[in-house]
Amino acid sequence: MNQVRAIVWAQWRSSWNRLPGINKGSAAISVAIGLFWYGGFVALAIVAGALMAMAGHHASFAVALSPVLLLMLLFWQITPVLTASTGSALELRKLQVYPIPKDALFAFEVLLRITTGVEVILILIGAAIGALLNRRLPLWSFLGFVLFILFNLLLAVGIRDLLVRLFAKKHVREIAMFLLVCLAALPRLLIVAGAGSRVRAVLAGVPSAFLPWDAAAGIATGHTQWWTPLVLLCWIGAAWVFAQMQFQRTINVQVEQIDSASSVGQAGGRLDFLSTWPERLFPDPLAALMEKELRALGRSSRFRVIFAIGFTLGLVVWIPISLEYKGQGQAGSFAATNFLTIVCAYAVMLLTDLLFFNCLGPDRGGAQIYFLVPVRLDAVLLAKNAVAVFFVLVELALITVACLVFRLPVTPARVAETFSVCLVMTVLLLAVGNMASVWHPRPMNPAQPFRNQTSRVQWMALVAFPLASIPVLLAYLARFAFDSEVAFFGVLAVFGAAGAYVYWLALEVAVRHGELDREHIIGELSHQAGLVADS
Amino acid sequence: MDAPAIRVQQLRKLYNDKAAVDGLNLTVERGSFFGFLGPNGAGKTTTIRMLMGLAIPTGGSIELFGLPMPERALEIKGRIGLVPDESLLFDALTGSEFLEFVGRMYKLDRAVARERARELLALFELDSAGRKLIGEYSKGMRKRVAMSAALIHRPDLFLMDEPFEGVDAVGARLMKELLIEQVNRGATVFLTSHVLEVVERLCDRVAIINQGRLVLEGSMDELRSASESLEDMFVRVVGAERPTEALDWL
Repeated sequence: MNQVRAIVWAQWRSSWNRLPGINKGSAAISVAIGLFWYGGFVALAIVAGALMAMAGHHASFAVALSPVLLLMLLFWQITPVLTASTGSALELRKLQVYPIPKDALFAFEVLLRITTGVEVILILIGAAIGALLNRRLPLWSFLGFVLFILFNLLLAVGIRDLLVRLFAKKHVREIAMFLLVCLAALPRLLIVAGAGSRVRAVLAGVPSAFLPWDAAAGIATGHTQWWTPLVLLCWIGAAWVFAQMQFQRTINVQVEQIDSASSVGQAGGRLDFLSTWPERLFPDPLAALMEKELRALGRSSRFRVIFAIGFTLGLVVWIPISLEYKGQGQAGSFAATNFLTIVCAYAVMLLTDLLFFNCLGPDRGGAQIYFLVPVRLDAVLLAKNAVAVFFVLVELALITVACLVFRLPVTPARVAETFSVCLVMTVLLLAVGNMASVWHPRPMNPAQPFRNQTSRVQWMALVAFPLASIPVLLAYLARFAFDSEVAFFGVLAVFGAAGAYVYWLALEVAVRHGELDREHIIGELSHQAGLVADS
Repeated sequence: MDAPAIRVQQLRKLYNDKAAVDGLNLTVERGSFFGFLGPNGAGKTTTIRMLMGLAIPTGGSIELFGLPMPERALEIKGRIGLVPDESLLFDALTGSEFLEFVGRMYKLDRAVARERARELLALFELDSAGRKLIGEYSKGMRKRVAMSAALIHRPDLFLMDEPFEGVDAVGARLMKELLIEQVNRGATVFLTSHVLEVVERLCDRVAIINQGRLVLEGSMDELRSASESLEDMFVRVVGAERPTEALDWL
């Protein structure tokens, strides 16, 4: 226990000691965004609590609650994959040298999984309080939510460790990515392929109370058989065994290997020529900087995973929707009609953190070189931005080609619309991103496939992304109002030109600030994480 | 007459009202091998970071080759070769790619940068590392790459912060020989090191800094004429003699 306290203390001190160096403005923005984001979930928790407090003792309520719990489980467990963010984690490499029992580390790791499910936990706690206040429900009904949280925490430990290990290994990483995508696509594809009814029949054959969300819903609403709690406890036990197994394996693996060599891509491969094209188009130092960026990003596990998630998971979520509508011969919904634009916008959003909002982060201490060599900071940012636009275009092209392969109704007009929309958004994101990169730089391990924590920059992105979408929404509004493509592209063109102007202004401001605040930037980028990785 | 390689006057750097460097005056003539010494936290690295342009001085002035820093930073940087700590390297590039990149940053033609990178890697026995990324290099290999990067554009001034740290005897010897050759051709070396024997053997002039202030400066010949060794002199001027018997439990 002393050791766990010491770890918590050391982590707290490492965060506290850095406070004086944190930019006050960006800290205030982070706090405001955090309050907005988590405030929303607190409001949802209050609603959930009120609903549970008013709920009657009806079996139908348990039936209604069950899918809600399933959705929460999916949100908790799948969001880290969708956003390539696995929450805070112990720096085992730093801790393994000390005589700390593995059980203590495991317990701490379980608690850290709260970081990936804070939103869901808030709602479940609200619901649990509501259940406690509801006199029509048994006193122990709140335990349904508490046990469900425990089950999710343990499951999250297992999934995280499994993912981090799989994605740390060369070749296995690619296979894992493919399997993950297949797994995510399976339910929708089964439905689209017409196997939905058979699958439903199989699922209907499974006694509902044997599923963890059903069992938890049963306990929470007081509709239980004597064995329902036992079922949930068995699931918790299974999750504990899974989590323990995965955690032990992670500890036993050479952490050093995961963090460095095996996670870094191979140099000088056959595709290396793809990184030398800037030389033919641009003069040095821009070309040299771009080539460096293309190589470094191309070899970064983190970038590759996020890039792949962008065009694979986006597609598997949206293509079935489109196929479904196509198959049923219905007029498509907005989502089905605009699936290409939505998938591409989702892909751009995923790339935001790495390409736009923290573009100096992957260089870490190496970013010092930009201030040492005779190169201006605007050349560095321009090179990084140009490469970001290149990768966005490649991502969009890949998604378009995939849509054509799936024989989706992708017309040249639709492609032009998607590219225009995404480019306007990209320009605006770059403008904000350049400033964020110099005001709030964070070291980012490019060899680590998953981010550890939902950072302040991600929260910033949560605000910036809708803002960058406003011109696009206005363009769609213009199309709707005037029923004219000219109006749509006209509005986009105006905002594109305005965005370009904003971009140049923002670049100038970022460069001026970066030159003056170079010590802070270098200090932040050379900073090492504490015992709990927070970058 | 040529301006000195380095001239700093009343150089000052504050961190939260605490002076890391406090009114430093220093002149390093061209073609000299200058040792800049001091205990941990004395202000050596802060000084060298200000000379490199990584840190902005709170007060005072810096001139390199007669050009003011940071006003003429780009011109100055083009004439400096740096060997800071190895965190400066890009882990996702190979040694060869990194050197070529640095060469091009110093406006070398790509073909020239590539050729020099190849030769430097061969000289530092890193050519066998081939397609290995810098992230996979050992500490000594990283240091050799950093040293190669400092040489690639044939600079007039070398700013070196602990260049021999973590380098094996063979590598260290090679680096020393290269630096001596550079000084012989007229380049200037400004070196910080904790290894006083190395400083004693290589440098023709030495300055000692303590608590941000210059406490001693002189030529190696002047210092040698005194009766004590450089180490004794260093310990005496920085006031670092401490009793070790205080820790009974150890």
